[in-house]
Amino acid sequence: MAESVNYAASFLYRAGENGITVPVEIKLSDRAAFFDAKIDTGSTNCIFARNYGEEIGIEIESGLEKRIRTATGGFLTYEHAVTLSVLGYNFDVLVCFAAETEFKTNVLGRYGFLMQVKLGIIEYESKLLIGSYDE
Amino acid sequence: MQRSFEQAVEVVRELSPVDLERLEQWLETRKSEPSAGKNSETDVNQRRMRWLKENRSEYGGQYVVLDGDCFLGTAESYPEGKKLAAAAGVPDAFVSYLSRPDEEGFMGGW
Repeated sequence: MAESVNYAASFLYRAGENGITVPVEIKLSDRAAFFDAKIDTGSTNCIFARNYGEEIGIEIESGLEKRIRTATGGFLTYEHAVTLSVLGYNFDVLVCFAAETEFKTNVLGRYGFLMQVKLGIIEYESKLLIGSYDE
Repeated sequence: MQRSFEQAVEVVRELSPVDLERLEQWLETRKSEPSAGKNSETDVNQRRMRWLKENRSEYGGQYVVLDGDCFLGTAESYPEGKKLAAAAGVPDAFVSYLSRPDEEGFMGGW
């Protein structure tokens, strides 16, 4: 049975990059950090490099400790409540900051992002479609 | 010692009319201070994080619904949490999955 879904906005991502990369802003009070993150449907959480958390005044180790498993091992993160802004949508959510400074990958996963939106991907056009569930 | 909102309400109820008026004036002044909004936002975040840490063992593995650090309930899913928040009259309440203390996340790896 055919289904149709409406999205309020679209975004053309860079086709030549690894993964689907979108601009992200995180905020806490009056401080903000801007960076790129990859959409990762295989990630349970939104996970960011620790320096972005520190940039908005977060003491990383004061958060909720959470270990993230990977195919080859794992790493430690700390969850914190921030305002996450992606393609015009803002959410007050928990996101993870990596404990290790060497961790430089930023991903938008299920909790905190995918759970909050409707998302469509047309890889052929390098197009990401996004909308709020209520729209 | 930090008092809860309910304790503060009890104290306010016992104030004399004169002191109640002074309190109202103080609250009005505080609201108009330039840093009031910023402080309250930071305060809310800190209180929220404290609540999440203190209650992770009890409510971990569920979606928690909070208005500031005021616990509104738990839900099995995000949409259910949003419904609970709306029913409580706080549609913009904080709704988030709270992982158990020993719970691991997963990432495919890049």
